[in-house]
Amino acid sequence: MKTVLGIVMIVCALGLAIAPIFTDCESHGKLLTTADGRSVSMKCHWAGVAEVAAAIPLALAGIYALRSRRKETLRFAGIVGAASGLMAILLPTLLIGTCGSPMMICNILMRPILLAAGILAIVASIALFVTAREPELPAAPAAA
Amino acid sequence: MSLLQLAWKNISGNSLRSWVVALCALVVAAFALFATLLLRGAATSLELATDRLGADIVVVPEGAQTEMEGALLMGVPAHFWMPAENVAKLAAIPGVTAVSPQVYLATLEGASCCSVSQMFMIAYDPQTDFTVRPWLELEVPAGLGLGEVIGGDYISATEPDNGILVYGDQVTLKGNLEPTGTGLDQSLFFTLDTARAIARGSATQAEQPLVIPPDQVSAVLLKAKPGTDLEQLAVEIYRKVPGIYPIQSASLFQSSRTQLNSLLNTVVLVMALIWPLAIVLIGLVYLMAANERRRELGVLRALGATRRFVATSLLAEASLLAFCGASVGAFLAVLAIYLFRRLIMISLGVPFLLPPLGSLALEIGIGLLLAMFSVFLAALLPAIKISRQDPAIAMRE
Repeated sequence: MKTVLGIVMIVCALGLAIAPIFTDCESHGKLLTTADGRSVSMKCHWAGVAEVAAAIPLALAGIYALRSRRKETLRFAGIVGAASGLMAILLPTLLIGTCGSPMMICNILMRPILLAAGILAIVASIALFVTAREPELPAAPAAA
Repeated sequence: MSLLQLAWKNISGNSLRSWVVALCALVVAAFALFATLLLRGAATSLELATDRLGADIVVVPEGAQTEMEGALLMGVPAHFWMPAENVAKLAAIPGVTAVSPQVYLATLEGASCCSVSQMFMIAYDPQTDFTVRPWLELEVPAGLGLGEVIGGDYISATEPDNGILVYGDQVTLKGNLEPTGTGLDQSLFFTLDTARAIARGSATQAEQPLVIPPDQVSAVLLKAKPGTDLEQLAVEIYRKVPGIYPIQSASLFQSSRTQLNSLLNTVVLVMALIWPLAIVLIGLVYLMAANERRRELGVLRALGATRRFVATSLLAEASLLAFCGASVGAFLAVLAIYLFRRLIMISLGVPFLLPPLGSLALEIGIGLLLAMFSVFLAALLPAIKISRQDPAIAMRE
């Protein structure tokens, strides 16, 4: 179970880090033109960049879920994963946000991918926390 | 040990078999729910959009029918014009009780003078309007004044004091309309006077001026006398006023309705393939499991478990797995349709509106039941077969 959850967390982390590169408005050639004629990145681009900060701890938590067998470590990985998932949701919604028009590519593709990855990361992390068990000890050798 | 505990022990005892069965239930539930939500959401949205339009016939310039549907359904900005004198000509046709012109505009793309890029805007004539006013009655009973706008469900203020920048002019958002799942949700509505004021100011405030050709309108919405044959009236309009095309509200969004029907056929076909395949696969898995566990179940019978108990424990195991798999499937389907609804709208070219919570819960329940029924059906024969086996023979083999 923890292997599947660890893989889900790592896949979500990769999605959080990679998806914005191809799905923000800037990747589709859309930049904001200021009154003085300069082209600047829209805020969806910065939300995408900030997602890396959520993806790294999530990926580490996923690796710990795969490698570790200790209950405390798995539970801690679950907590870190859930916090990272929450951060991944908050960045494009409340903390930085995305572009104003709901029909821009960042709102059609980038935001849903980030939210889906964030939600799945939280669900997987909670499941990891709840299902974390001490490893079964090997059976004692029979007395001679 | 209770029946459920025994079932759970069996599930965790063979994880590969459990994963296969749960995955089949997941796929059946997710696909059935996703398809149902999508098709029902699209149909509801089309009905709402037609109702909201409130006109019996929409008159557009000839050749602009598809553009008009694209604007109303998907919010794609439309640019077409016809002489304003058509309004008087249409009003004079017998059977017509009300006519109201509308002007369709759009904000600039990626320009700092517009808060929202490429937003579809509808300017209406408050003197003759009978389509926008009924929706405004709740939000703005007095109607919209100069510089005031009302937005679709997606529209929100981007500037202080509920402001939105349109061609460098700050207009005040007075409220939002109920969602329809169509392009109307991302459109802005204001009066023709506001449109002209924005156009005047845009010459100096915007990166590009807003041009509203004088004595031109984009479309005319028309209400017919009750009991009038609308088809006959449309023919009459087409004959009497050259260069225009009347669209009856019933035939509006015809391309989307056709698209929806072909989508429905595809979904039925895919479901007709997936469902029996899933049942056969689960049935095979349980048949193999029943053979594999012959001795174990024989011991259970020898210890005093009845045939009924053995069959029920297998079915409880199957139902538990189906419930878990289907719950995850339903969660994923709802999550996907909620988050990716705009992508689906654009990719499939159909509007979409999420159902109310009660209806959604009912559909989720039906999806879960369908998946559980499928797994139950698949596990029924192997369960009966294994329960009928003689324990002594089963244990010896």
